[in-house]
Amino acid sequence: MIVCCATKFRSAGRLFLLVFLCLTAVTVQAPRVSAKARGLLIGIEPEHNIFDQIERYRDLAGYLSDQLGFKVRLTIMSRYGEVIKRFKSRQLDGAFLSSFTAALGIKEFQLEPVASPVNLEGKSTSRGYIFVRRDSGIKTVKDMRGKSFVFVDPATTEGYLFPMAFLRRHGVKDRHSFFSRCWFSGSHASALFAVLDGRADIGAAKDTVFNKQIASDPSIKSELRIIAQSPPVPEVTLCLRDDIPASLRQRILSVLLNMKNTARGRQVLKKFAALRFIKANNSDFAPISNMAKEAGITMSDYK
Amino acid sequence: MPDNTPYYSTMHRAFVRELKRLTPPGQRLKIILQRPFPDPIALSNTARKLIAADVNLIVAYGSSATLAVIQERTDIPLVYAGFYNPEATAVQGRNVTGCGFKVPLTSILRYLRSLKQISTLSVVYSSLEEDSVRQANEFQRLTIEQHIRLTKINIKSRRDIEKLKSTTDDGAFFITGSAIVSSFIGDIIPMLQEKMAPSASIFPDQTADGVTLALYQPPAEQGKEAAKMAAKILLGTPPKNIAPEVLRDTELVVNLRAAKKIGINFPIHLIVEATTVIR
Repeated sequence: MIVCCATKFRSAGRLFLLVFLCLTAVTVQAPRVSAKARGLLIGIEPEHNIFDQIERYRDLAGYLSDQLGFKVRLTIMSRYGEVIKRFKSRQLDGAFLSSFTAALGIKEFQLEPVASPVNLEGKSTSRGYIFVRRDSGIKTVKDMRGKSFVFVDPATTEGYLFPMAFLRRHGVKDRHSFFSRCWFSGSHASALFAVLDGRADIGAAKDTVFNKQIASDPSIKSELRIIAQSPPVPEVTLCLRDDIPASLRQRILSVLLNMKNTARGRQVLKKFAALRFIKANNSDFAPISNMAKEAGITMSDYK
Repeated sequence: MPDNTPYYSTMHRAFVRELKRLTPPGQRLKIILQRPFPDPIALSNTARKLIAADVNLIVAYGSSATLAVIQERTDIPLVYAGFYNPEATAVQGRNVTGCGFKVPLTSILRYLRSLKQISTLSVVYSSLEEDSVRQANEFQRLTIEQHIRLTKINIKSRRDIEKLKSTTDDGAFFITGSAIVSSFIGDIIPMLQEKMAPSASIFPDQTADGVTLALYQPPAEQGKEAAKMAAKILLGTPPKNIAPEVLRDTELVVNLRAAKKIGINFPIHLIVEATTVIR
């Protein structure tokens, strides 16, 4: 203990964040009546800086509300997997989901994938990276034995499913006995910083977050070495419950696809850091099921 | 051990605890602890004193103490700990092994830059300590790459603290891992606070004095590793058969209380990375 009232806790600041998220979630929930009468409640999985994230999504929700003629409200989850619980308890009408939770939701809750944003680099997909510090001397899976590994969350493709599949492919059957320590950082950027700081020897995260951090601080690129990368998977997909009428789902898709064609739509897209939305399909999520199979992970076991 | 540096003291406590645990029952263990002022002459005198006492093993904390023992060219085995990035210097010898550490200074610069826009960075170091000089030089390279002006403040004695007054008010400070600087930290921090400048260190205890953030390698781990090496040597393994280690795992302390005093609000994305938050 350094001072009498210091908080000794792994990622102590997350306490504050959790309280904030709980309050955010509580204030936007409403009793379940018909979707149109009470509007739509859409979940968002958390990013590293939720304040930036709220800003990005706020205008999109406003735009959808205006175009659809009823309120579209957003709620940020406290962690990646929370969205599954919310769908189980039927507290969400839809969610902007990363590929793992989208694949799980499609399989377990028959969610309908509607649309995916195309980012400013023209991509709607992301890849998982496994990376180390250049000065760590780690170049192969063999060098990783006895080191520490930081994953993102068990409900992420790039931050858990892919590295687990990669490790299994290279003969690592039990991560707990192979590594000295494994832990979950809670966000892709946190996993990156954990490796940069030396708090973990090896990390996994998605390339879009990795590249964003490099863009803001080019020195990061020279400090890290990418050991492996996954095939591309949809980065974010808006998925809706299957009991949302097909006509309404189609309207929502149409509004999103046409955003790029109006001045206000383009303005909202710019703030959302996207060029446009594209239609999403069930087949987009096939690589995730394959990865889960290779990793020996039964997605439906996810709690 | 140089002076009463808290970082090395924590390391030493862990060392003693682990060595006692590893000492076979019935075997007598006597530890002579010397805490000279960390200048080369005092450290050299201490090394000679221990050599004259014909001890079985010398344990040195930090680079200056380690290099002082090595310079005496003794046959007594030496185990070092708390040596910053020993791979970057000539810390070697037939009878030498030990456990050093490395902290990514790039991360410290990144964290300081996320607290405020920095045009000038001042590095507080001591030219009497080899690893403190290396840290200052590493920062020099980083700041050139990132187009930040660098000022080096060399602290060899108390009167050098006055040099801090002439540094720019619009900057940030990095305090190198130096036993000499550490011994004056109580005088240094109020001067930095007066300048409303954030500061960072690789010694976590300095946050209690008001340093804004510290990224550090936990010292107890190094003490424990050094004790394992010492136990092996005392039981007959030659030091050359024990591979030196460099520990790289780190923890981050953010001092919200100190930041508030200088008008800085820690960004939430930095707080979530912290292992310890001082409120």
